[in-house]
Amino acid sequence: MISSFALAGYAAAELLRHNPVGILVWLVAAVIGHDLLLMPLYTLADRSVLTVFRHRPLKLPAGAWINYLRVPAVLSGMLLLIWFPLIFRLPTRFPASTTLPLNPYLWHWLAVTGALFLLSATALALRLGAVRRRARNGPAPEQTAGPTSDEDPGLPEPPDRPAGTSLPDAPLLDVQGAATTLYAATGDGPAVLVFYRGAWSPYCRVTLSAYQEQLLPQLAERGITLVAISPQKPDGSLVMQHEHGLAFSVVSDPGNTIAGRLGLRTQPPDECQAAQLRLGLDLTGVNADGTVTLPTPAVVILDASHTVRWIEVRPDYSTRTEPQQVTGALDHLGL
Amino acid sequence: MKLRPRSPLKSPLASPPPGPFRRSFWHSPVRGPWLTSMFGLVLLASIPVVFATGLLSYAAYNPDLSPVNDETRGKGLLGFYLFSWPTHPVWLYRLTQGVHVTLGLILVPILLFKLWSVLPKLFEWPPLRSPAHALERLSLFLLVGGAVFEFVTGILDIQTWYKFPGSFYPLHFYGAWVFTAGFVVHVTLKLPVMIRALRSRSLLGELRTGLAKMRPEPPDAGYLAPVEPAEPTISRRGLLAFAGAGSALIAILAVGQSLGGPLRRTALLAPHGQDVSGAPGDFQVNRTAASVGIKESETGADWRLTLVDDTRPGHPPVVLRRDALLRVEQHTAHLPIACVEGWSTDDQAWSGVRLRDLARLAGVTRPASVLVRSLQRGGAFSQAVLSAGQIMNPDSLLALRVNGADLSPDHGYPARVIVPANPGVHNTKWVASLTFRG
Repeated sequence: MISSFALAGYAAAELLRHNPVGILVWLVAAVIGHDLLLMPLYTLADRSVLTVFRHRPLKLPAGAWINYLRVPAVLSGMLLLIWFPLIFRLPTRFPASTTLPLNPYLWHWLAVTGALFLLSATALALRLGAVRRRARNGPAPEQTAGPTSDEDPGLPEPPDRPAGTSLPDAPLLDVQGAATTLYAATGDGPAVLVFYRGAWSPYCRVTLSAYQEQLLPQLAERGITLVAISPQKPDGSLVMQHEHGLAFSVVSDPGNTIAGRLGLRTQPPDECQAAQLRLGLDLTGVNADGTVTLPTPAVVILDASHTVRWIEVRPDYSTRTEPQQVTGALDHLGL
Repeated sequence: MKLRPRSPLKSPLASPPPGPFRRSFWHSPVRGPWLTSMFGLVLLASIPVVFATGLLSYAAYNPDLSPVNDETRGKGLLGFYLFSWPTHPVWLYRLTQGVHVTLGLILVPILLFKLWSVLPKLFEWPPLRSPAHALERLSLFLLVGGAVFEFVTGILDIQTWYKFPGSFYPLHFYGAWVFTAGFVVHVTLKLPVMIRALRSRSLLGELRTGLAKMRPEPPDAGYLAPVEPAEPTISRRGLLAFAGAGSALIAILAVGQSLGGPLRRTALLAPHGQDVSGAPGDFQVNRTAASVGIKESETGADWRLTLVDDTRPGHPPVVLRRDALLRVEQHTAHLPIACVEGWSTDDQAWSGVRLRDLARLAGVTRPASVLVRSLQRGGAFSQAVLSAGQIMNPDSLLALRVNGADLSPDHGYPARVIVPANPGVHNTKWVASLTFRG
């Protein structure tokens, strides 16, 4: 590092001999001018267009639309950024020196810009055509139980697993450690399952607390059961229920059987486990099966026949499904 | 629901001011260490090539041979690597300079996307955590400032719009070293971070992950990963493809001016992407005779070539008329013209007198160098010094004709130097005298 700075200093000293003020102005302008002038301008332009598109009723989410505008605009802008001296005919001695005229560059750039937008528009038209064809032919047979993103842009983006999986019954342990089952916990009607990691996780505690306050009353009105499932030993479930005054079922699923059926099993990375041990948290002692396997936090809506009608998975453990999202989904499903 | 449990150990003074200084200000769901590392990897592979071809470009002028050749006379230790520029292959300078300019242009989108991806770090808080942190930020100032300085000076120069704070050559040369110093520090500090980030997710997996399935990089991956990501509108693979498309487009629209031939006109926005109008067999011109003030009276019947023998001071020079030169043994060489601006022509068929034959005519059997003087007055390249290797090469000519016809005034009539692998400006046009040194 020292030799690099020495090298820079030597070169900079030579550079600065030529026109120190001019050069320093250039360097500072370079760093700041781009980041503080051009960057906010691009972002502002991008966000404005995004806002406009979001409010229009479209068959595609705004995210996909914007790229058909963004890509040709940015590519054209980059060409302009590089070649603007020739395009705007700024080097006045060019024709006399090279015998080549300056006129064509503006037209060439406009033509390339036009071609880029035309290509983009064609690609978008093709894609819209494909979407309309799919919508006309009806949804795929294995997804009759659930909505697809093409037909219902109102629902949040559904995850990887298809709605419509039917969950078989599975053994669980209640807060006292007594054996129970999934079907017993959910009861006869529809249910909302919350997969959480454990009483040791502050995020999980805050989440279940919030569901107790904001979600449970709404579910009770609709006659829907709320069940919280984790891989902890029943002690952990008991702690969770008592500390937060949870008035809904808090059960243990040793080995994450149900989470596993939905593909939600995960393990914290090694550095995370090491950090946990340093803080005095040993998952192998906390979890009923003695492993460090955890469920990815998720919320599932089951209908009366225990079929998954909606699922939201949150791999980023620091954010969780909002109560409004759950009630919104229930409204949409008519449950 | 946004969950951020407060750490009891955080001092209230460490809380960043509102705005971009807070990590939560940055909402892009594609930003993250992996994305930055991908752009970084491309730059890591390419910038050394641009730097090396740039150094070769300076060496091609043989600046140590004579101060006449050196546009950057204060270079000192920075010229440690210089060597005598070879004369083969004949397309050597065409290749190195073509790569330098074209690769530089291609990297512009990658550089811009990389800067966008690390923008949150410009505002990181606190701005100076420790002396080591301050040094790192200084190196980033050199890196980013130097990079933008180099790219802007280069791109303006190739379009002959000379809006710099000084002469292009020394600015671009010293700027390259400042940038490179920042680059070396940056790579040394960030290579482990980059490798770890690249390993954190599979490239093939990312290439298969479209917009619907993409999830933002988790906040614990690094400072650049978003803590409050917005809904994604493009996937990471989409952004990589976007940058790649930008580079490809720029490449397609520029490379024609270096490849020449039927592809020249594909370089729609490049300075030498047009064909010259004129007789078939005509080719690109760098400076016309009129633009440098060559008068017809100087190149007419009164023109003489003066050959001076500097090994015998006081010895009368040999003076030749053009028709006398045409009577000396002629030789034909197929050589291109390659300019520092990155464009070049295909091989042209030059014919004239070998330089080594002119040395013998002047009475110098083993020339060490030759000072070539043009009729052009003033200007950086109205004279040039050629090395012994360049003089003795059998394809180095004082050309009188090209492609079957006399040189045109714009191509250096009555005579010009043409040497294989030589930068264009050292193939002196409108030659007035050759002074051979022993």
